[in-house]
Amino acid sequence: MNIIVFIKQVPDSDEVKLDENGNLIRNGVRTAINSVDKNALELGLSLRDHVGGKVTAVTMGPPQAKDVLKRALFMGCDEAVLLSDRAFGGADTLATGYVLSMAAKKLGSFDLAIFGNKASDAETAQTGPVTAGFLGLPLVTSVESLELEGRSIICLRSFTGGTETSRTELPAVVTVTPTINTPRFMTPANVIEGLKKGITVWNLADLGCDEARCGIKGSPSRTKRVTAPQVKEVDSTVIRGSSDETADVLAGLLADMHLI
Amino acid sequence: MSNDIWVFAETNNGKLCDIVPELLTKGRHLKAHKGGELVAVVLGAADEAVINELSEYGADKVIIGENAALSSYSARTYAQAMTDLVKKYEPEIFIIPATGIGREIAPLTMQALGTGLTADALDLIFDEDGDFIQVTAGFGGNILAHICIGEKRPQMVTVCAKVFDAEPVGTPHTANVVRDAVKCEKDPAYELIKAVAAETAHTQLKDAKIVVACGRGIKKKDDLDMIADFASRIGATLACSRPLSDCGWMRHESQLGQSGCTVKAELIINIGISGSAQYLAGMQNSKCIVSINTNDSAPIMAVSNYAIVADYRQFIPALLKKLH
Repeated sequence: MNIIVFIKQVPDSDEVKLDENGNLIRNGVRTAINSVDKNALELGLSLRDHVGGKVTAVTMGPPQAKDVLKRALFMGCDEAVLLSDRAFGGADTLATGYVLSMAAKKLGSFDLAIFGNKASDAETAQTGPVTAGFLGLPLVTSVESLELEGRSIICLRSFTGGTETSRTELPAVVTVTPTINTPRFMTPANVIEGLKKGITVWNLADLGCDEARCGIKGSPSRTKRVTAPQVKEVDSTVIRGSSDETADVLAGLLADMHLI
Repeated sequence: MSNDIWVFAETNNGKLCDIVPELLTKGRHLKAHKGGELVAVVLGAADEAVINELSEYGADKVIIGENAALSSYSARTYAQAMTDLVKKYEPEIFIIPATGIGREIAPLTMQALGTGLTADALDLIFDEDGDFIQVTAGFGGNILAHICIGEKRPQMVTVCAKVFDAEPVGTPHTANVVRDAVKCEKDPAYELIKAVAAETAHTQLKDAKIVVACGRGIKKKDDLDMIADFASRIGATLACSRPLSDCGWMRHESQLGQSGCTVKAELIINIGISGSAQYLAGMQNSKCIVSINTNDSAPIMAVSNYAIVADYRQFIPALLKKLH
């Protein structure tokens, strides 16, 4: 089975600072792999371990995004590809999905493309669906359990106020939630293997992308302004004391509200 | 190109989803500024009750995209139908519920049209330049991004439930109904095997009146059992902040905040939640906010009516003893 897992490098924390012009300060921010992308990698790796084949991890970003690809190799991925070009910068989800779909096409035929259901920084949950659209493949989002059945996948997910089980023929694109599995740790053997594997880097020309559809140029939406959110403060009563005393206060409140 | 504002009127088993009146109400306010018509778009079928409800919340027109392939949901089929309708009627703005279905067909439609789509807007405004701005949260809600879609149309945006209030129009009118034989095909690669409706006894979080929410301060997964016990004793719905859904301890449907669900509860009790801006936005319109935290300077304490400085590991057992 030929599997592509798309992953993203994100800031390590939600702590962000704005400069005096209201722009994000990105310098010196520690980065990490987007948490749910580890679940996406785990799904790809466990399917491969079960039926054979290979898992290719792909990310788009600046040269330092290689860090998340190394992590993917250390978990046991077979290949890693970085999509990097100045022209890719400032992409919205449409321009990102375009470049990712061009990479998927260049990788040749595959059975399953896996994404985390959302990234922790922008949380749009759009990149997987948009890429599926460019590839013209079926899409199942926020999958909580996935099983292979011949040339199909059986997916379970929470949907429209209940749960839904569906069968989708491969090739397909899925996005997964953190509940689908527990990601494996790196192992020393995989780290040694991973260090031997190189990371392929493809730029705009390698992918044969139309520059007008990449990065800022290819992005219909733009951030006009960034502001800090307003918090509505209230007249707060602070309650301290032993657990017995503080519990009495809440029990009293619950009784007043006729909840107990 | 029209000046029309569209709202995707999602239905579930023939009933209009609760979020649609909220989006129509916002659409009406936008229309007052921009002109054009407010249009509710249904895929599949809509009975008299649905059309009446759409009229009641201000839809000038209801477009019903009809095709036998729309009788059951599949992402590609619905997106195809939606794309076909947008190309035909060319709306200016298109607001879509951030539901499971909306989150699939909005990006697929956006991709097919090559336009922009903002996820989970918290507000929709026209700024001083007259640009349509979608205000959305980034970085866990620590910033608000004002996004605009420059040239491409429609300007697409998804919105979560309970972000806007639903208000019926004062003067009754009847929406003009347009039935359109929309182009789309059944997806040969996708088949629904089984759909199980959620237990009706289980209140959906967004409608919950009493909520107990827990966050990163919860030390171990087993502690959730005693908190669930407490929640069930006071008839509360259990919820969480993002860290607990990210780590898989609780399900995404239980997540409060901008990337999860917004509540306007009578009472919310926050346990071990520090209160990121995105979390606060998801619950700060609740009537009574109680927070239990060991850190008295956690941001959540300043927005809480009752800020209880305590360790939940002693506090909850002490409280449970009092709730026989």
